[in-house]
Amino acid sequence: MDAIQHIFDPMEKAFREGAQRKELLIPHCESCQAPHWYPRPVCPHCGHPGMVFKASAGTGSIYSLTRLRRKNAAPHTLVYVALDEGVTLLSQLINDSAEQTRIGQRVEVDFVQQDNGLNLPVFKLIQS
Amino acid sequence: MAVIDQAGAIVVGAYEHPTRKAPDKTVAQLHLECALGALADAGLSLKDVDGYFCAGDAPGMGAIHLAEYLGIRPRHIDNTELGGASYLSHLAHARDAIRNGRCSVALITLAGRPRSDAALGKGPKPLGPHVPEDPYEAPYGINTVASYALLAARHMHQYGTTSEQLAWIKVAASQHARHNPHAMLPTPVTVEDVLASPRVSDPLHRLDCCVISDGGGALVVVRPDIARALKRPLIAVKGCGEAIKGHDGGRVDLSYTAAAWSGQAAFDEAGVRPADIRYASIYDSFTITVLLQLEDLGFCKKGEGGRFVEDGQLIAGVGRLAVNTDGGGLCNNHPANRGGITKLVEAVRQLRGEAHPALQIPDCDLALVQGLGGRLAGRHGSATIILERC
Repeated sequence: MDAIQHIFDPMEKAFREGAQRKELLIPHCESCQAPHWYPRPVCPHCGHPGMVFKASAGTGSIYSLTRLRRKNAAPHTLVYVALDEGVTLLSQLINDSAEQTRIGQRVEVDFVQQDNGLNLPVFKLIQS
Repeated sequence: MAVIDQAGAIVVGAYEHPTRKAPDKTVAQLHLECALGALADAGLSLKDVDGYFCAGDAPGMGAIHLAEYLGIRPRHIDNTELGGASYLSHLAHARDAIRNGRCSVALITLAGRPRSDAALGKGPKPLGPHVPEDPYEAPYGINTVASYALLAARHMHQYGTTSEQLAWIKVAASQHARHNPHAMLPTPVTVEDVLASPRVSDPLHRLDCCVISDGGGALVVVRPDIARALKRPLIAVKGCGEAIKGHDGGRVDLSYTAAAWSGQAAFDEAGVRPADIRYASIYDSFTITVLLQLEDLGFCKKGEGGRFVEDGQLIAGVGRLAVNTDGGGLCNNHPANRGGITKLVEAVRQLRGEAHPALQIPDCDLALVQGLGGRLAGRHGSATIILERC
C-alpha cells in the first residue's frame, strides 16, 4: 500500500483505493449526473465543477480490441470496453483466447496486482 | 482584386531533405539544411526571414534555440504543437500573420533523426510526466501502433473494411515510391506482400505502418507583393481548418477523426468541394489513417473508404484520386516520426508541375493537404489546407 501514499492527486488516490477494494470507481457529475472518463474535477459534458465516484457494476461489452505483439514481451490484448454505465475506457483483456475474441462480447472487471502492490482494473470475458 | 492578393500569403519555397539516414548530423543542423533548401528554392536568404514556425520536433524550447542557431530575429514566432499536423497549422497561422502585418517572410521547418537515434538506443522525446490520462491508460502498455490498430479493428467491425483494402493503400504508396530516388522503400509491394508481413498489432501488419526515417523539410510563405518579385510559381493558401478530437469524456466514437471538422472548415473557406480536388496529400502514419481521413474529408461516404481505396484507386494516372505521389510516409519519408511538412511539399510540387513526370497530375490547379498528430484512437489534432495555383 506504500505506493498509494505516494500518489499526490486525491482523485487518483481515491480511484486506486477503490481498486484495492476491487471496486471500479467511475466519476459522475454532481449536477447533470452523467458519468465521465477518465476522472477529472470538472464535468466534460456540462462543465460543472464537481464530481463524485460511484462503484461501477463492472460489466460492459468490447468496443474494440487488438492483440499487441512486441519484441521481448508476451503478446497482450488491449480493449476499449463500453461499460454499461455509459463510458468507454481503455483496458486489458485477460485470460482470453485472442483469436476467438470479438467486438461486442460481454466482459466484466477483474483486478490484477502490479509489482508496486496496486490493483489494476482489467477485464475478462463473461462465459455464457 | 487578383487571386494572389486575396490569398493573403503565397507559398514560394518548398524543400524536402534528401536524406533518410543522417547519423552524423544534429537535429538543429537538419532544420538549418531544410531552411536553406526552402529559402534557396524561393530565391531568399535567412536574413529575409521575419516569421519563424516550428513544433515539438525542434530541440529544447523550439524557436528559442533554433532562431539563434539559424541566425534569424523573427518578429512573429509560433511553436504550435499538433504533432504531424503542426506544419499545416503553421501554414494557416503564417497566412494570418502575414495578412495582419505581423511578418512578411515566414519560415516553417521540421526535422529529426529518429532512425539514427534508435540505433544509438535513444527513443523519441517523451511527453512528460503530467499527461492527464496517463494514470488511467499508461499501465496497460498501449503504444502508437496499438492505438491505430484499435481504430482499424473498430472500422472493420462497423463497416466491413478488410485487411486487403487497407493493403491497397500501401500498394498505391509503393507504386509512387518506385519513381522517387530518395524513397526509403522504393520497391513495389502487392496486397499479398502486406498481408504476409508480420502482424504487429491486429489487424495491422508491419507493412501497414509508415517508415521511420531521418530528415525533414521546410516551407517559405511570403506577402503577395514579395511573391510577385520572386519569379517562382505562385501557390496560394485558399482554405484552412484545425481541430482536436479526443474521447469526449468517455463517449468514445472511433468511427471518425478530427479531419471531419478541420476539413469542413477548409472546404467552407475555400468555397470548393472534394470533387474539385485534383491531388491530395493525406497523412499516412498507417494505412488506416488514410482511409479514415478520406471518409472524413468527404471524398467518399462514411464506411465506404475500403471500396474507395481498393484496386489501385489512389494511384496517380490509374485511380480516381492521386494520393501521396511522393510515396508518402508509408514508403518515402516520415521525418521526426511526424511527416506533415512532406505532405505540403509534395502538394506544392504537384501544383507547380514539378512532380515526377510519371505521376504529375495534368493541369493540377487545386490540391488538398491533410495532417494528423497524436494518436487517432486517443487524442489527436488535425489540420487541413487547400492550396491553389494562381
